[in-house]
Amino acid sequence: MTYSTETLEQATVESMQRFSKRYLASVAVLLVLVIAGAVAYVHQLQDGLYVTGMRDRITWGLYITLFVFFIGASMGGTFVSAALRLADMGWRAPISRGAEYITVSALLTASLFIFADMGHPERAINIMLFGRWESPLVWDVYGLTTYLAGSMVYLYLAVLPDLALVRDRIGHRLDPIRRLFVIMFSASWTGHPKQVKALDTSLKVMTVVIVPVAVMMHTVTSWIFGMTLREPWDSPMFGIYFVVGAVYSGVGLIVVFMYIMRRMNHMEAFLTERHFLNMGKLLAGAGGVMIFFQISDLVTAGFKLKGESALNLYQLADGDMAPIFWTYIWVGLMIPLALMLLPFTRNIWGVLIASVLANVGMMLERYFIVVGGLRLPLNPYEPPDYTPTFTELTIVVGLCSLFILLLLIMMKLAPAISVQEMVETGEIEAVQVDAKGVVA
Amino acid sequence: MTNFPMHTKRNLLSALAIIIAIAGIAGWSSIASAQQPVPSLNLGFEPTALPGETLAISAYLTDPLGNPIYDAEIEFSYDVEFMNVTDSVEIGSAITDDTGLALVIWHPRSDGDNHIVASFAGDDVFTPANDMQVLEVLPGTQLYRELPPYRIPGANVWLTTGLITTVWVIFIFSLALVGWANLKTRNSPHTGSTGDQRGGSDA
Repeated sequence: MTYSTETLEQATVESMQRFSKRYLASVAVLLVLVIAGAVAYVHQLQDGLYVTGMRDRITWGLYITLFVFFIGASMGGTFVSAALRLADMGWRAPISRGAEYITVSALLTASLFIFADMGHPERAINIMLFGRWESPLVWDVYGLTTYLAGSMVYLYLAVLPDLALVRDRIGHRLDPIRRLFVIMFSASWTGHPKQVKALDTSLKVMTVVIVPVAVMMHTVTSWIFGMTLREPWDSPMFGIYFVVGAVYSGVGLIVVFMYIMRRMNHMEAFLTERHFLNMGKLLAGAGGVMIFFQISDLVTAGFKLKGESALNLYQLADGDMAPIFWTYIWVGLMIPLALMLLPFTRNIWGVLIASVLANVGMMLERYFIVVGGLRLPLNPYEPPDYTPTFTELTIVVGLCSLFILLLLIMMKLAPAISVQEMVETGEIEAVQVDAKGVVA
Repeated sequence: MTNFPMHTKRNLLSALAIIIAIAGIAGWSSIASAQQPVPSLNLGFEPTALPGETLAISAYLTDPLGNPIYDAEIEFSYDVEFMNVTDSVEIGSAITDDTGLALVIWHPRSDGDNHIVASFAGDDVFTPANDMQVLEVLPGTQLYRELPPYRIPGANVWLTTGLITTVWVIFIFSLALVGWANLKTRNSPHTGSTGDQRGGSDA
């Protein structure tokens, strides 16, 4: 027996109506953390960046580390949703909606980290008014706004038929806010062939456009570092490095989200082990490329040991940053790859653990790139220390909670699995269940 | 004879008094200044140099009788032209020793004629004094070379703006296309659930 479109529609749409205790508790906890972050931010706004651990020599800390991390997370969403759509890989269908949610949430969170890093956020407009085109920071602002706008358009186009489905199926049972949202954003979609054709064309165009825009965004983010005269960042490889690292952490984050969604919405029939394993292959591929880059980087720098490059290598391999660096190498790169290569860990749990570790690793990598790069003194001084303060950590936790909260809210605004993509790709026919409705 | 009113006369007298006072002060200060001895400042350095060469620039400050003036600050500068404006750039300053000598070390950076100026600002005893000499810096190895800007043919701010604008237009176009189709078919009969219309439905 196979799952019918009808059953799929019912399962996905009905899941929007279920507010389990676990869901509500998660939202409540996250809300408290977001509020705590907001209070800490007000404190920072009043007293200035002095309340953080950042000083004149370490001017970028956790905020920029997390900014880079979330920009990377958004790339994974685009990669899975748009790039796999371009490659016509049907198995992506039940994952792509979650990936699109992650892209938009991660980009919104990343942009908030920029504001957190600004002592005077009200001056943000100055970069538009007085920004110089020669500055990679200006490129990044234009890149980020373009990527965010594109991702939102892409998400909206993809979700439009499903919003209409919700409107038609359970619109009358939704609470007033969500009913208004669904009616407003489903526009006048009726599924008329002309509408379907227009949507197909728009989605194809957006798919082609959004992938290079995403790659451009990550490259430009890397250029903020790569175009600064600091030895640890002085590498033409930085762009590629960032893009691959972004795919690596982004894919990992999607796997974690898939797992939560699967458990929370009882989507075991649609998000099967096959999907996790395919994502695991992507994770292993990106991780393998990261290891290759890392070895190439270490061997060339370690063989020559020239000037500041040697100092950087020392601080990473044997100095103050060594614990972070080696945790990244082993926990963030090697163990996830091993988990994907070993047959007995190639299962849902294995992919999940590998994904969590990959994200921990990438967060550490972003940290030693940002802070490690600034630590290296330009003059003969001792490297400065950086320890995030409680205020800083509260803001970081608050913004990370906001990211998860946005995902949880999105899950209840539209179906977490794209019905139209499942049908379009024929994935619905692949969902085999027995007579009791259990996935075979 | 013109008969001025009383208040006009008073005003004229006040103005006259002010003019006399100003002239008096100016005259007194010029007399006082004229009473100060005028020192003599003489620059000295090799008339030619190469870019980057170490050059000693000396200046002797003496009173009218030729006696050295010590503990006086001498400022050294050279004239440069930047964007059609000539201005002086300070080389450094030195205090005269017992022999009236002030000495600075300089490395000329550009070839051509450099107008070196030594200035004494004056003090309670002596009036200010200047001297200017030309240093010819011969063509040689340039210390630095300004690289032409790195240009990619065709790449400029307008191309970038055009590219970003195009991407945004595509975003808007994609939305507009769907919006337009929705508007045109909004009154068409509802054809069922979403999945059904996208083909491949087994419902």
